[in-house]
Formats: sequence, structure tokens, C-alpha cells
Amino acid sequence: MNFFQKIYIKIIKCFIVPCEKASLLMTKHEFEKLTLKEALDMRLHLMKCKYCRWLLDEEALLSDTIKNHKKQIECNQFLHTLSAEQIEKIKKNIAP
Amino acid sequence: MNTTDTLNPSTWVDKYGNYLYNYAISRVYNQVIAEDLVQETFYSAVKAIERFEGRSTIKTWLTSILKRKIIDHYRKNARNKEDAVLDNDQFFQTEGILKGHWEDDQLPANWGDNKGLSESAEFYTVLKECLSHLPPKMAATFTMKEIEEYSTEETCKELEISPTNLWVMIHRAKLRLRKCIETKWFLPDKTIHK
Repeated sequence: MNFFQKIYIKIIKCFIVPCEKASLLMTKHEFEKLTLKEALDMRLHLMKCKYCRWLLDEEALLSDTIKNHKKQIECNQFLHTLSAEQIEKIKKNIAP
Repeated sequence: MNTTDTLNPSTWVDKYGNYLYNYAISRVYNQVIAEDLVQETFYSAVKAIERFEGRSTIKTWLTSILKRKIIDHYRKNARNKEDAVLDNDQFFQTEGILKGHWEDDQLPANWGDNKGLSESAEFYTVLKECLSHLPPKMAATFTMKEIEEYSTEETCKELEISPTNLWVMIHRAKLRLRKCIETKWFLPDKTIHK
């Protein structure tokens, strides 16, 4: 990294929070309202950083997948089934 | 409400066994533990049957018992200290001019077009495997917020953590899951781009 690149990074760092902070704010934003400063820090970072934009999309995909699976269970679409043996074992244990 | 349901607990197992089993697996990510929790749920329900007042359905009542069992399971796991040892991935640079920037080997890749993937059972199965590899306390925190949608206050109280620690744990859980699924699902077919 040459001298000018270092100066450039130092200037950028005065205005834009690092990826670690921005991605933590992205997580918090999913569940709670950010303060104005936090929201601004996150937005500015996302404008500048393609990696964190990808992270945002990819984490949203994982959240959607988990939420869809939760809905499928509520609609009785099951990935796993208790075997006849397991069912009998449970029934035996709760028999009076 | 159907009274034969209430009078004959063994019919509960046929009717709601698979629902509770899948519900538990999607929260503890382990079939053996899930089976035990379902077993304990039915056992507790039978013992407490006189307390069932019929204001909710049997299914809702059984689910509420199971939910409590799952939280007790989390609490038991949260007490052991192995998370600090297991959570050793370094995602961001810790020193130098790029402190806080992604480590080179952790940079997210572009997964491309993922239309419909969130509804794929195969994709969820791989994700569940990744969830099962999270350190126990981290997995519990993530699940209580992301899946059970408990409030920050409730999650912190049940797992005895501070709100700041809660965000850090969920954040790290997400970073680990993203990396895990990238390695297990997206890397093998080499369709990703840096």
C-alpha cells in the first residue's frame, strides 16, 4: 500500500465506520430502531462497500429461509417424522 | 374443543407428535434432543392435565409447554463456558490501518441469483446443519430472537446476558452462518464471484 492510498484510507475512516461496526448495525437494525447517527453510519458504509451490501442480501436470504421453514411447520409440512417405534415409546411413557 | 382429545392423551401423540418434533428440531437443531424434549412435553402435559382449562387448543397448550422446555434446555447449555473457546473465528482485521475491515479470507462473495432458494428444503437442511455447529449459547440467543421472536429484554433475562452482548452474539452467529452456507452450498458449484 503506497503513501497516497494510506492517506486516502485515513480520510475515508473519518467519515465511514469500518465493516465490523456497519455489519453489527445491520444486525441490530433487523430487530430494533437505530438512532439517527447509527442509521447514517450504516447507510454511508453500505453506499461505499459492496461486500457489506452482499452480506446484507445474504443474511436476509438466511432469515427468509428460516422464516419459511417455520411457516411450513405451522402448515404441517414436516421435514422429519417420528417413527412408529418412537411414537410407541412416548405413548408407553405417558400411559397411566 | 374436542373432549375425546382431552380425555385420551395417547391420541395427542398421533395428532401433534410430528408437529412438536419438527418444532423442537427447528429450535435445537438436533433430533435426539428434540425427541427427548417432545417426550418430556407429553409427560408434563399428562401430569398437569387438570390445569388445562380449555381456553386454548390442546396443540397450543402443548406447544407452550414445549417452548418452556426449549428455553430450559438453552439455559442449561448457556451455563457452560465453552462458547468463548468455540467462537474463535476472526472475521475482521484487529490491527493496522484496515482495522475493522474484513479479513481477506472472510470477504463475502456474491451469491448471485437466489430466487426461490429460501423455500428449498435442501437449502434449509444445509442451513440447519450450519446452525447445529454454532456454539450453544450463541445458537440459543440467535434462535430466541430470530425464530421465536422474543423481545430483547426477555432473551437477555432468560440467557443472563447484556443487551450489548446479545447484539454481538447474534451478529457473530449470522457471520458464521453466512460463511458456513457459502462453503457448504455455494462454493462446491463455483458459481460465486468475488
